[in-house]
Amino acid sequence: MSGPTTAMALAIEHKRLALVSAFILLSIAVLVGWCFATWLLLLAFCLLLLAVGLLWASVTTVGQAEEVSIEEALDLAAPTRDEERKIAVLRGIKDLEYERGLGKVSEQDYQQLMRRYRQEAKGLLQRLDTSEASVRQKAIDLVDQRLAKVTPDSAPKGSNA
Amino acid sequence: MLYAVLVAAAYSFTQAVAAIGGQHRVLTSARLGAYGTCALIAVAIVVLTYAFVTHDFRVRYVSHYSDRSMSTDYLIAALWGGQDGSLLWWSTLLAIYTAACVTWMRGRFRQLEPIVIATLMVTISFFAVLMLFAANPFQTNLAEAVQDGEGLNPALQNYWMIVHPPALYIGFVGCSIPFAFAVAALITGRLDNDWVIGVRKWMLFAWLFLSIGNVLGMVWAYEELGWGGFWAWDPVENAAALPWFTATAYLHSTMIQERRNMLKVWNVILICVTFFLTIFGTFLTRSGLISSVHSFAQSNIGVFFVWFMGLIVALSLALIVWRLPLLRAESQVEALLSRESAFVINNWSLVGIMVFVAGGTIFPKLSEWLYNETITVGPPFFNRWAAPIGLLIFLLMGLAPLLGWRKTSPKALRRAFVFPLAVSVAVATIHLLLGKRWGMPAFVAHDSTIHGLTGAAINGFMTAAPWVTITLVGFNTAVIVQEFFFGIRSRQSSARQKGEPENLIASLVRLVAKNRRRYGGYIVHLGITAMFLGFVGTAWSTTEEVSVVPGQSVNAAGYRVTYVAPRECPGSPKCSEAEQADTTKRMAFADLDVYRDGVLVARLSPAKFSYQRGQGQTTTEVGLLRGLLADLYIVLGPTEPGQQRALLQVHGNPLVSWIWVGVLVLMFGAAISLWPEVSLGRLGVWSAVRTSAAVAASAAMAIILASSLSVTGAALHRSGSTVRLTPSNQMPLASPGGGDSRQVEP
Repeated sequence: MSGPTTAMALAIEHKRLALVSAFILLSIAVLVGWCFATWLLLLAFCLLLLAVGLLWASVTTVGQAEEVSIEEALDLAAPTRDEERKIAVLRGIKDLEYERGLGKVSEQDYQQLMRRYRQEAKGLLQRLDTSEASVRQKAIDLVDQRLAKVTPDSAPKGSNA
Repeated sequence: MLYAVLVAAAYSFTQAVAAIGGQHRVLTSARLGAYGTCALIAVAIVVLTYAFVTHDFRVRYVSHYSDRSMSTDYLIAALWGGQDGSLLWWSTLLAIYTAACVTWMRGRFRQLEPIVIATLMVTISFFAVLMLFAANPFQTNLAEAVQDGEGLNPALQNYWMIVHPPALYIGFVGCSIPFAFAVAALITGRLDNDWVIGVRKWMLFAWLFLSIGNVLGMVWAYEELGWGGFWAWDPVENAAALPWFTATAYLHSTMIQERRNMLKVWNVILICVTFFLTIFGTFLTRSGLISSVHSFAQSNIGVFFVWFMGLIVALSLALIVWRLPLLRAESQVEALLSRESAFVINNWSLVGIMVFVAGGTIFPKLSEWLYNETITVGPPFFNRWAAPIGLLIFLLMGLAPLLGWRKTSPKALRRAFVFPLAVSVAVATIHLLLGKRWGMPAFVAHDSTIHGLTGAAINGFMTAAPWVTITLVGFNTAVIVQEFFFGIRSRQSSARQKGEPENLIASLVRLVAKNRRRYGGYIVHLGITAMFLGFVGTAWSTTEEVSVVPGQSVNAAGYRVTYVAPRECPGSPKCSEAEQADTTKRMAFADLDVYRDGVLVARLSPAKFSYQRGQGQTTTEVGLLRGLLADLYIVLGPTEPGQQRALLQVHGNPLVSWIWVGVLVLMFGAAISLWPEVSLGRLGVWSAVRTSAAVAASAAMAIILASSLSVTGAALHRSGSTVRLTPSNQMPLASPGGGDSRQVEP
């Protein structure tokens, strides 16, 4: 993740953290100062506000323009099926090595299974390289454009990278 | 509020279905809708809690299940003490699971996410409809508000009833998440292994709480019902155990799919059946179909459950049949002596025992429909048939880790079996030779009512069952010790080769840390082994009914029990301050001094409590002295005011404590398997806080449950039935006759 993106993601996390901390502190203050029943009322009120806010956000989200926020962009970067498969294959190789160390897999089975895993991993890596190349370049271009828009003085660097 | 929940769930369902097309905005909207629905359910449960805490008897549910004398912890426990509230509690847990699952899915399984959300919203909608039209916890009293409520059933006013239902519900509701994933995988056709691996932790979490919930139910039955045992094959107990069997099967068979691309159909079926059984169990408890001490009042909600169960079966079957070509196995079992074949037999045994228990549970109703006659099957029937299957599963639990995947070479077989077999032979021989002397003979005569060859076979097996079980306990323990030994040795060997030798402790810690799932699983096996040790103890339990007057003694479970005097509270000067102040019930105690080898070790006070409310309902308070070798368990019979003579039922229950020890070990093992695999250094601030909070919450839950087992003495002390001696109060308790205060008079 590039520097500005990390900073923005951290800023979002800090905002969330501040909100949760504020609620916890308020709750403690109410619990100490008043009583359990009052705290329950306060909790119900906060939860109701949260529910209304979330449902309102849900309704308005559909109608918004398609500009992707940083949170959504991070979310969209979910691993693809091939990436998930790659993780599973690597886990399989690790397990197999371990079982061999314990003497639970015969040498013949180990070689056969390892060959299969390696072939699959090789195919997956090749596919991922091919499929990600164009997307990676597009992402670099978009980041450059965005940086150029935010800080007009900075020269685009991604194209030279 | 419940209407709002229903509308919000329906809206989120629609958005989730619309998001199947792949539009990110719509998926975000569905997510927010799901969070909003969950928040609304949270508002509902908090409002009901507020009504309980403020004694708002305008609400019918509050007036039925609480009164002004109840403490805050029991007021909160009353939330799930009755039918209507327990359904709202179920919905609340489902909301928490849904919110957690939606958060967890961010960045994972994008294709499956809309359908997972939609499935969970349908389940939430079902419970909302159920509460709105059949069991509304917010329904007000038709007449004006009553001055005081009817109070919670005294049998439920017990420490275990505060923790047992939530634990069981967490387990039950947790099975919804794997089901939602299975539906999503079947609809999208994305039936590779990744989602199965992904939901394994969800199922493991649910399984852990199913285990804890069932064991806490055993503890409650053991301490509160006062019949001397912990499992009576009651329909509701059985209903709680059914999903445990299939969830256990799934946790094992998923490993075969991960490794060998086999059993895909089987795994999907297991997930669907497990979810179905959680709904079926809830239906059994609440519909009044089967009579049980645990059942809620008979109501008309059964028909709603029948429709929902029908929907689950129809949807699951249709999807599995549709996707059958994609679910074909890519390999097959190659040899009988392989781990996958052990897992397959283990799976069939677990499903077999589930079918057997389910059949036995609904048999009274089936016989009523088929023969117009209610035929009830009791504990002897269940024990007779469940014991052999249980022992087969126990044997396979030990065998599977010794076998390799695909096939096991003769050399590997010899290497793996030598130590466990040697230990088993040693344990079996020692048990044969010394068991009788220790009061635990290897063979206990069994008299089956079945005649002929089958009866003889059952008698033979059941007679040898204690010996077989103890031998298998030795075998399983040896297997686990050996697995750890091999792992540590392999680790130390590779560390030496790298030039960084490790000591034993460092190797053990790193071994477990690097292979949490595997070694957490072995620790779970160790816990189950301890539990089997506790189960087999019932074969040697003794029961004696005696009628005693003050000063008389009786021997049981290696103790000498002397009846000191009766005591009635409030009233008697010997009552504690709390007992004197409690005017809600009449408490009749029988104070008993317990000696071991002539030394006073405890004072037990079994009692009968008669409550003012609830038509003078009576509860039995057990006098219990725990021990790792045997529990002394005393029940006081019916009493009359002023009566000196006491009728006592004295039980010696060997090894029962190992069940509670076993579940603690099981919790520890499951926690290791569940521990997240990410390092905190890779997380952001918010994620680190969330992870820490989740770990802290899990640890707190585990500590509460674990400590709850050890505070039994304190809990019973509060109820006045057990008083443990401490060094400071041993001396004043002089033995009858005024001799040496620590010695029993002959």
